[in-house]
Amino acid sequence: MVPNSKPIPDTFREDLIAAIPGLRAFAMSLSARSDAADDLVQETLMKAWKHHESFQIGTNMRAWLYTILRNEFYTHLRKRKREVEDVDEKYSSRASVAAEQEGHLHMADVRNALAKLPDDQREAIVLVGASGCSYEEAAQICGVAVGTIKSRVNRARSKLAVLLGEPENSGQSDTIALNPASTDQASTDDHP
Amino acid sequence: MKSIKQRTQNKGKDLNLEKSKITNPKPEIYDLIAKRLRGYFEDVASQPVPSRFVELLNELEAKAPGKKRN
Repeated sequence: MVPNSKPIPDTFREDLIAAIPGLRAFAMSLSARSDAADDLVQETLMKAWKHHESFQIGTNMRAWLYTILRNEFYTHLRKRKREVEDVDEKYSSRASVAAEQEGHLHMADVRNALAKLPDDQREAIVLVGASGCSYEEAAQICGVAVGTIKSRVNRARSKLAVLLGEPENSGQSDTIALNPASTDQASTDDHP
Repeated sequence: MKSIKQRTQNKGKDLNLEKSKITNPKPEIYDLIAKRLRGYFEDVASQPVPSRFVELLNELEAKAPGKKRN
């Protein structure tokens, strides 16, 4: 029996369960492999439970959990260098039906593009651009200044514009829609 | 952020020379990227929670001192 200074809050388990979908999405956006992403979530839940006393009730639980997950991610990354080529197909096949229905949303493309970003830019754009964190929350999670997050987000956006806007990136016709000027239609307009 | 601006400008020049069909990113491209990122995130977040996580938390709670579940 491990003596704990503070008892576990009554709703702690429920709060953690409620946070799992967001944690999985964050992990899946950081890590190029889905199995690794769910392992990350598991590690995060175990760490969160073990260190529950470091969470102050009433404060931002999402930011606290994202911070733990991020730390776990970089600990594992240091152990085993992530391979950009190793993006698996498991996720893209699972998501393909929903993606087709959404028209232009090609999940595998997004994931591949994210995998090509430097780590600091990837986490910044995922937190601010995808998870809905504020710049302030993202800065707190990554342990840097708000201005640093802003510039990382801007750099990530510019890179993603090239990665996701470039037709040759995926060879899919619908990605051309991101870059209308590059289509044949546009050029025929220019040269009648 | 002088260096980024310079780099972007240089990159833009190179792209214009090498691949004239690729234009500089337009604001609507950023909107689309934001939409795609959110779509990706929400797609994962809307998947059912794997039972292993709930089982893990049940186990942890059962083991917690002063938290005996009956």
